[in-house]
Amino acid sequence: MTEFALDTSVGLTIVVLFGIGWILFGYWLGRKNKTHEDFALAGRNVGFAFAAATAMATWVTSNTTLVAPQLTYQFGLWGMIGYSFAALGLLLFAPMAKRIKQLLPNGYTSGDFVRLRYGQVAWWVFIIISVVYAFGWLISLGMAGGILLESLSGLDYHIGMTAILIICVGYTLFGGMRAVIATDFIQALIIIVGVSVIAYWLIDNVGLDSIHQNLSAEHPQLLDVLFPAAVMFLFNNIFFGLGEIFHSNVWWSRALSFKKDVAYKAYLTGGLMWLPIPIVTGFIALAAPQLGIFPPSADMIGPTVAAAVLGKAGAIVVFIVIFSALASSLDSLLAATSDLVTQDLFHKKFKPKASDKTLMRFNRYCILGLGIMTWLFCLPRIATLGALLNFAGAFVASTIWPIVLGLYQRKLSGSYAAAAMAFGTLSGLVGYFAIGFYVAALISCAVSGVICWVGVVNSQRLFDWRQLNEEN
Amino acid sequence: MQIPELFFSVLIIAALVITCLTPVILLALFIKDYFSKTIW
Repeated sequence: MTEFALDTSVGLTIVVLFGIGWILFGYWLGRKNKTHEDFALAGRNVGFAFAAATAMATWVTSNTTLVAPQLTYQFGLWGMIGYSFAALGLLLFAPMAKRIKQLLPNGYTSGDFVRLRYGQVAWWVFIIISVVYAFGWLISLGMAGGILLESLSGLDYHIGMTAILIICVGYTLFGGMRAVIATDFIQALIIIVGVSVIAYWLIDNVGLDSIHQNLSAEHPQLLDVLFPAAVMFLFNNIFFGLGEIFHSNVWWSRALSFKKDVAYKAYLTGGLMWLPIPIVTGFIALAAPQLGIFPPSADMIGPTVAAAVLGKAGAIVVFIVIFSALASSLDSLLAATSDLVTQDLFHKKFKPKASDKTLMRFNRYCILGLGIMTWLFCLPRIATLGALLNFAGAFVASTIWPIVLGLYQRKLSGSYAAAAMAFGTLSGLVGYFAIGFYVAALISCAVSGVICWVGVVNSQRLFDWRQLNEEN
Repeated sequence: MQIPELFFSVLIIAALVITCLTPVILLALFIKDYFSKTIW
């Protein structure tokens, strides 16, 4: 085998072919977009098949295909099981999605909800958290694209990162939410088939018993069910996943774009389908020590193992799987964040009387602008994917209680919600730097929860749910 | 305490089987939506 599993020309060819295919598909789907609601929320009419697939595929990100193996390589068994517990976010969001559709029949974004439910101060805190998280995730995805191409085909990091951003911005720009969801369906099929093929090959050729025996002898801590840092990681990851999904407009805009009565079962099905995937991708990393594979960067362990055992064909499969996983999340994030900026900032703050055409045009400019900003932030390769991801945990976990209580409990007021998110985030960041990444989300969620509890106990007023049904 | 080999194998194979079923379920749902004209 050469230094890289794929020739640079093969890698580039795959990127170009997929890029052209996705952009043309996005353009074709975009022809049906007549209004801003069509563009941003696919006409609020997405059926069960696409809804379930997009819930699953969006949650299968570079983090599932690159970070789940990385964490398994570092934390062993609990790395992959802990990662799979992030499915709880999708499962628990299912009843919330149903309630969101009921309470905000005309809503566009999660920001709409926070503004109407908690007022301006909480909204600003929420928007800051959302923007930090969205950029953290966008940058992690852009970087992952560059790392993937570089490690598998030797293509320069900057060229690979630029290519994947251009492709995702391209088809999201043309097709809006319809393109995002339809491509997610195809990408979901590609991801699952690819991951299954690699795992099956490892079981068939290396053997589960052989992998277990090797780990027992050489790396027993990876099979330890009482690995303290790993157990802490498991709980941290649960709260991180809940925070990511509960607050992010990626998931809210999907809930609002699904047909009535589809949101609940789509998120439930998507969560159940997602649950085993980190275990399968994590397992690939557990085979590394026996195969004598010790990659220079831990976040490349999954692709390196797959490419090593399956040769060129395996490298192509890995390449396409991770490319699809990255695209399925990048497009969602671009669409959801641009909706947030268009609806919450531009429409509600600056141009309340903007026409539908103006909103659609501004939404497209936002997608383009976000793509350019992400590209600029991705230029320096600033952190490993895991580190970047877990830094955001301190932010998002602080939103769990304000969002849940905001949807189901009439007592929590805006000032307490704002304080919960702000102090939760600050505490999580202190935990991140003082203790470690694996406690950031835990501490953030705990502090936020205590403040919310005090807020509910001290509250004298009850929120009127009808205030959420805002006419646009 | 290490995870026993049997439990390790069951965990991985169960995860792989469910993962393999997912494309079948998604395609079946798509066909159902397609014929009932409820894709969008």
